[in-house]
Amino acid sequence: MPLRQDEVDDQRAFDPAELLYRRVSREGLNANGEFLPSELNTISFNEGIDSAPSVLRSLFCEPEDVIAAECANGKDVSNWRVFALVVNDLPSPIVAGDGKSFDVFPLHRPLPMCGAHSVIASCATGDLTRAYAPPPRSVRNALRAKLASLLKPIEIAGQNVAASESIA
Amino acid sequence: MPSYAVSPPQQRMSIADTLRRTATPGSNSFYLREAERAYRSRTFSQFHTNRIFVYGLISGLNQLMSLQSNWNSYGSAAPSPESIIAAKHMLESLAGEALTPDNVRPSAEGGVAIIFSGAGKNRAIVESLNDNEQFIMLYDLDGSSRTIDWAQNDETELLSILRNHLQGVPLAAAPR
Repeated sequence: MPLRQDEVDDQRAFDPAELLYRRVSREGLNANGEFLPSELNTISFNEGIDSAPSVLRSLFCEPEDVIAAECANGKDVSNWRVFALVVNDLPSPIVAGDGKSFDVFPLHRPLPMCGAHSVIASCATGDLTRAYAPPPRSVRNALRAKLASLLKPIEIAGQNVAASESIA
Repeated sequence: MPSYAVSPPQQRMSIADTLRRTATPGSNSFYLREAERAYRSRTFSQFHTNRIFVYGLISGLNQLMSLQSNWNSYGSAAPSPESIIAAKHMLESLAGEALTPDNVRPSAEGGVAIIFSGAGKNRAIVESLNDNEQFIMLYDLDGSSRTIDWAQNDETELLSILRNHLQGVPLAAAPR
């Protein structure tokens, strides 16, 4: 059962070795089992930081929680695959074609029934306030491609994942 | 009174029967050889097979119309009818150049994603989004990428860049 919002401390900093989990349906992988960048949303950077790419932080959850309905907008995702990347591996900064640079960082944004919920946020490099800054399409796609290459499958009991590929 | 200015339509089989009755042994073997050649050409032509596959994907695009929002459990919008129509045009262009995608999927950005696997680590996704953005995203498994706007570039050149990428040209060597 995932921890609720009132059961987590949202002031806890991210450890560089902490994992960020993301789930995906089997159709969201190609024939080689690779995570497709098109399964990652960054268009919502236009609307606000809360709808940036969602992940769950491992400090407050187990991989099984990622496929619990409480953390999936009520959808049954129990047979979906779970992937993870290490916080320290987040690609940052990403430089746009016009030379503008963007930092990428994890931000803990707990939801009432899913206390581990976080987003991968973006701000202009050097902005100490870390104010939200919408990156251009080339940077968004660079982020999607890099995240897709970093996300590795996680073994969950009852799910068949090649051990050689997995993180844990 | 019936008019005989136009011959009544004949059944195909009766035409074949007529030919068979009037055929010589030489013309008969020619007919069989040509029929065999056409059959082999259809069956074993990779180009033809790929086109059939792509047109299957185009008709399959209609299934995305019935997709609901939150299809990926992360709240992504379903593809709009406009993005699906644009994706059909893109697939037709790709089919004309014998560029065969692996699959067509909804995009988490809201829209349609056309998925390609290339040689080695090279991959590509052509996306048609609900906000009318259309682009080719070339990438590799090391995390390098290059985005090219579909509408603002010459289509022939775009498809040539995509083909080269899928054939294994490294991203670093590609012109920016």
